[in-house]
Amino acid sequence: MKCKHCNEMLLSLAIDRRLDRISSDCKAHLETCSHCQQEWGKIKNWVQVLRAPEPWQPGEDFIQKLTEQSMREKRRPLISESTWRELRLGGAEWHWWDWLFRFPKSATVVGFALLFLLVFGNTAVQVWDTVGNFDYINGNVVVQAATLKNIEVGSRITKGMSIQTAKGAESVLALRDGSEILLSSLSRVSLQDSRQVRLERGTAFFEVEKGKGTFRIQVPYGEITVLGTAFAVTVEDELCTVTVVEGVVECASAQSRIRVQTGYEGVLHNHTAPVLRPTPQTQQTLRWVMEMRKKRDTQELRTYYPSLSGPDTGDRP
Amino acid sequence: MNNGSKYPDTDPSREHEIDLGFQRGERWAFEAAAREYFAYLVNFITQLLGDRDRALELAQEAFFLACRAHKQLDPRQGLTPWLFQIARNLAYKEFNRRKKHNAVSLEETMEKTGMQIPSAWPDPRQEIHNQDVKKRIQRAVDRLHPKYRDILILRLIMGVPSERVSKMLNMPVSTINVRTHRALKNLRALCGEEGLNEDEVF
Repeated sequence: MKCKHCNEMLLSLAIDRRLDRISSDCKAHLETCSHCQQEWGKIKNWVQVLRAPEPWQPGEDFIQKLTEQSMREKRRPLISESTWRELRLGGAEWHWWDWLFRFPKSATVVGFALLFLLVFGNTAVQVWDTVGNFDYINGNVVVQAATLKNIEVGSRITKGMSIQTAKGAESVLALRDGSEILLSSLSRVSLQDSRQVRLERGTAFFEVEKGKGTFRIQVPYGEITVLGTAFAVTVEDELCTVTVVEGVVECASAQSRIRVQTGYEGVLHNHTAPVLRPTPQTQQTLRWVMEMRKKRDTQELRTYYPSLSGPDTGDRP
Repeated sequence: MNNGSKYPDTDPSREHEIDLGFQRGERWAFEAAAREYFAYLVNFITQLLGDRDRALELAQEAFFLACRAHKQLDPRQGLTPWLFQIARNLAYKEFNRRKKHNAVSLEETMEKTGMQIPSAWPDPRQEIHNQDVKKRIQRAVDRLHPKYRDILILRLIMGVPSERVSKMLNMPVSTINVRTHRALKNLRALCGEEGLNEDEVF
């Protein structure tokens, strides 16, 4: 017989004092096991120490009074269902904060998660919404539908932001996917996503990063779809011109669609099908792009070498 | 059969009659229930709270609540576990409230519960030591898990037979015996944590 079972029996014996509850196995074990003999002595002592000397016993008068009162209580209405349930089942009325005490680990995790959201939530949303940043600004650039107050190089461009350049102003937008938009003066572009742009007016040069999915440009008279190329788009009152420098661009209007290759330009009219025509002097047409790039590089150099001075002509680094 | 315990065992058929009578709201059943079970409630709550007056109040409250809801008694479950459950929940509400507000004087508790070390100590220093031992034991009892504390009070302190406790707590007798053993084992461990050497106790 195991000592554990023997001890259970011995404890019952010490409490109930009934020898008939002790099996013969236990008696035999007790005679041979010195450990159980010691335990038996301790158990007896513990029971003796813990035992209350005299339990309370109600007198006859008390029982009669209690019965009388019980009969009166019987006629009283029942207590509320919730209190009764609490007393009968031992479950207190449920409050939302009891959840914190019942599941302390989960509550801690949720608490930390909420704290994290509170502290970094705004930043996380901003990062999620960011589609790019300003890489170069020259002149007066206005941003609509945004909370940006001071626009400077490095400022975030978020989804839905509309960027407008004033007369003589220009800007370079570096998108999150690595693409670049060079915005000429008197132009307005709004960014739905880093791969979806709407050119509302003016001229912009797009240098699209390859392998990041389809890049879509919406213009007033159609849509330009590209996969990885460099081209300029000019939006005028009645037409929109797409000048391709590298790769292939698909221009679609309400009537039809055409593919524009390097050295060609597509013209999207308001009410007619798109027209394809050659542009022999592409580099000359896009001189403004080269100039803006030079200016940006110069501005970038000035941040590292402040001793460089002079106007942003792009003639010297 | 009375086996040396101060609490008598009730005949099961008689107990069932009391249950049915109580459910019907008959006076004789109320009186029999008071006679048979009320002392258990009072003594259990007294041991838990260490306050006999408050225990009497709570036991009466539990008994009267049961009388008011006598029609809800399920005779198959029995009156004893039902009544004990109500009293136990009332007592634990009070126990937790006192524990939270630390309103119980330990010395007072020991005096009122009657938990005593068996021998006479004429020496005042020995008396102080004895009081300290009592305090530590009571602290250990208070720290026990409720499922062991109930059984420890009913079985070890009150000496209620295991069959009766099994009816009161609605558990098999074997579970009661195992838990009694574990309750004492845990109590001894907790007493050790309280810095109480067993040699000091006996």
